[in-house]
Amino acid sequence: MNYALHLGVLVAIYALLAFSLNLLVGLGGLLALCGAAFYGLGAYFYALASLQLGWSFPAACAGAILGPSLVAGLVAFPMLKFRGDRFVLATMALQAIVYAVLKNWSGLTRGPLGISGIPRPGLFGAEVRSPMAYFALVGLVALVVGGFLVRLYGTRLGLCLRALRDDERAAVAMGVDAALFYRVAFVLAAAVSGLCGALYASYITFIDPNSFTLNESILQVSIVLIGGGGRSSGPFWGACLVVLLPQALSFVGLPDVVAANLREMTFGFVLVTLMFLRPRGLAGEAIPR
Amino acid sequence: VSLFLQLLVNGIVNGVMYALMAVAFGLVYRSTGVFHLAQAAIYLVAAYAMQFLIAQGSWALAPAFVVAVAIGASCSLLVELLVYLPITKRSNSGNVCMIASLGIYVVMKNLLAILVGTETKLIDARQLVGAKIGVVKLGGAQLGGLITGIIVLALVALAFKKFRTMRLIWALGDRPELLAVLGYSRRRLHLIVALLSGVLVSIAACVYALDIGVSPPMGMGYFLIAVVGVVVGGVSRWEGWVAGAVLLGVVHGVAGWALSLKWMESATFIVLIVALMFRPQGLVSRRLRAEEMET
Repeated sequence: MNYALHLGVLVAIYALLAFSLNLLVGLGGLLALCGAAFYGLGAYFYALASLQLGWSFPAACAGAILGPSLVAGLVAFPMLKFRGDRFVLATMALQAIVYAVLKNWSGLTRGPLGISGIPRPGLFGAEVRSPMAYFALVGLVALVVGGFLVRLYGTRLGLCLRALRDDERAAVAMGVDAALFYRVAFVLAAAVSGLCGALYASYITFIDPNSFTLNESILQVSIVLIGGGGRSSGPFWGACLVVLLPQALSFVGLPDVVAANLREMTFGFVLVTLMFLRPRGLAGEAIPR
Repeated sequence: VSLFLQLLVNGIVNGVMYALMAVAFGLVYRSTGVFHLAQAAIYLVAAYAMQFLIAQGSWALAPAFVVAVAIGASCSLLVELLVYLPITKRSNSGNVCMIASLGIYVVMKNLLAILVGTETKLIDARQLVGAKIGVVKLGGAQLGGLITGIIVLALVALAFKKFRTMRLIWALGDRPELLAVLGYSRRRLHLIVALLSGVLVSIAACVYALDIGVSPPMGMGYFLIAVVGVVVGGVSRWEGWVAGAVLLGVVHGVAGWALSLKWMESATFIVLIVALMFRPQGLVSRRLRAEEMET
């Protein structure tokens, strides 16, 4: 039962990450490979705020949301000037620089050693410790924030992002402010990723830079692409598939190291197959023929 | 001063290797429009093939090098034949090919990790003789790599100047539909590009493996340097790819001296961001009009 709850927590965190990334990747059509950078920044903001500054869980979460949002707001100006491959490259650059800072600024982040003993969430004077309580907390956050993001998909922001994805020149000619909408999507995605980072750090109680590499960014984008960018349900199904499918491998009795590689291989294989059969993902929008 | 000179020369030697990979990536990117992420996996295949042949098969260096390059080039051809060409036929979106390419990289990297492990595999290259010029020392693998790199780049320059096929490959990136109208087979040109790219990246991989060994993360690391080299140098001219890559090598050397070796990777991306912001058309390029700078 505890293992099922653990999987539930992971599905909720990854679904929330995918819902936020879906704004940029699915609706906006910008392949952002820096999701793990904001996720990692959120985790470190939470860990440092709660351990070194003694902030409460809500205050540390607020810091984990604001910190990455601020970084995203600053880098959005130069980065969102680019489209296509150059945007991908710029996001990879951001990912690499954030990873290098987390790994090499040992004075603050303890470098490769990571930060341990991160406090678990405390709400109304009680510590959220049991798997059921944690699942309830993360599930509630995912429902509220995920629900908010899904609502956003249908608002002017979501519709304008779709229009920009389909034909930016035409959308701009119709009066859509590309810079503004992309910037809002970028900052929102960073804010929610930061929150997910805080939830992850408080759940695992240990973080190190290796949890926030380019591979993690690729995994997050894979969830959106596998589920189907642009659709409300896509990120959820993508997260379920990515978190639960590898569990099937554990029944085969493979060693952990091989299982991890097989898990990534499965995603890679699914990605290639999808590009042949359903380039817009499992629950993706149909391509007009 | 001697440390600075040593790191600078190391940077130039590395830059020549990066240039080989940059030309391999630039050829595919410029002519077919595919962001060829699978190149990182082809790097690993060639490097591991060489390491396996020498360490397990007790092959001599030269035949192992040739066979490893052939294996890498065949892999590149297979990726083009089995994935890129069929996908391009169905969808003309560059993103679709890039995502498929990402999938291939993930599959191949993890398959190699399962087959050979994740630790760095070294190749015994003691038979290669190094050199010492003043205070600067070059190891045998470094010197061999530098000479091989310069020869291959000279051959590439010659090919671009003399061979009609290379001009057709360049034209493929400008007006592919016109080539078809003129009766040239785009499929054939795509395959030639894949073959050339595979050969170049495999040469770089084997030479590098001799110097520092091979491990799974290396493929993507060097691939990204190559991509940054192409963008920094300027996509529109192959000389720019080489210049950008060598510049990155030098920046790595200087960053290692001035800051610390651990910040070398970040230096690559800082150079990229500066280049994208202040000279998006690249170092070796004509100035672009606003409408040409959209992608």
